[in-house]
Amino acid sequence: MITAEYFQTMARYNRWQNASLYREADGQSDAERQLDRGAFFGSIQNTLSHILWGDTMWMSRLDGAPPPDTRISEKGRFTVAWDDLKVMRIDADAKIADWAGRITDDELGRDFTWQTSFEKTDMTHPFDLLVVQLFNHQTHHRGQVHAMLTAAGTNPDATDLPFMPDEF
Amino acid sequence: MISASYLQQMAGYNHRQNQSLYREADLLSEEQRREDRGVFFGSIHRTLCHILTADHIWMSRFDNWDMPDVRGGKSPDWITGWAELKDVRQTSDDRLPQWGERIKDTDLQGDLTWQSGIAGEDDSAPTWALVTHMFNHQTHHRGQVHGMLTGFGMVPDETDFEFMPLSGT
Repeated sequence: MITAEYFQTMARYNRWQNASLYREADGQSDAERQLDRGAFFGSIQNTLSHILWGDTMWMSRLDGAPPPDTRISEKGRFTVAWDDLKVMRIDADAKIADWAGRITDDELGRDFTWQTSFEKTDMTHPFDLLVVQLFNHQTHHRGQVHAMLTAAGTNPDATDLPFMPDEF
Repeated sequence: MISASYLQQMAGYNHRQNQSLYREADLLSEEQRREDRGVFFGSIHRTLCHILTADHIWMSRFDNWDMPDVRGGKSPDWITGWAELKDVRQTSDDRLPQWGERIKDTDLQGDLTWQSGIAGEDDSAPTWALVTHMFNHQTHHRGQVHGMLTGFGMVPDETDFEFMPLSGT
């Protein structure tokens, strides 16, 4: 379905888009970041927390990283302190980039068995389909954050993949 | 690089997600669909129209669909009637999987050169990266529409891939 090259491209895109959204959110007050704007997870901060939770959960399954800690264990319904969230995001993006540098086409082509968080049921799927889900999940929720940031009057960077700057 | 199976997965996901968002948007009033909610293209209608226009622009390059007669900043206003927007979306979502069935992995290799409506000049990039962009672009803007719909109290379907348990990841 995908090769390591797709993974590396999306890892760069992830870092670029997070840099843009976190920069714009950082210019807002805590009250603006935590204002319930009607998105699925309510606020800018909770939605960003949820994306980080999803990424950390999947990296723990797929790449053996530590699972999400208690600060992000409730899928974004729990507000992570902004300064902590920023540091955790930068750390996660570095881990995704590192993973992108190591992943092989062979690994992506295998099946992968994982256990669901709640029912503790074993599920088996193609490894690469889970990777596509991880990146699609980010883009979906970043779209919501982008909408809340523009409604708050900020100007995030372009979001189109072909316009990704070389420095990312 | 991506293979044809990625296209098939994403074309199916696109279809299911559009059915969910259009079903919920259909329950809103015309005024609600056109209300400026502060997203990049303002309203639910204009954002959905922008996704559709961009899909057609890219599919005209990938699969010889008719190129829309609007480009760039006019993309959210290509189709201004809700009933027509729904119809064209449905037709497009029926066509996308047919392309997914026909395409070969080798079609996705190599570069594609196109005239950019935004940059105003010829641009070139690997075909697979542009196909990835089209699907990522859909998900990004559908995320905005999803945020506006829940803001109106609507309940779109799950947005994870369909194999995911309903309790989330």
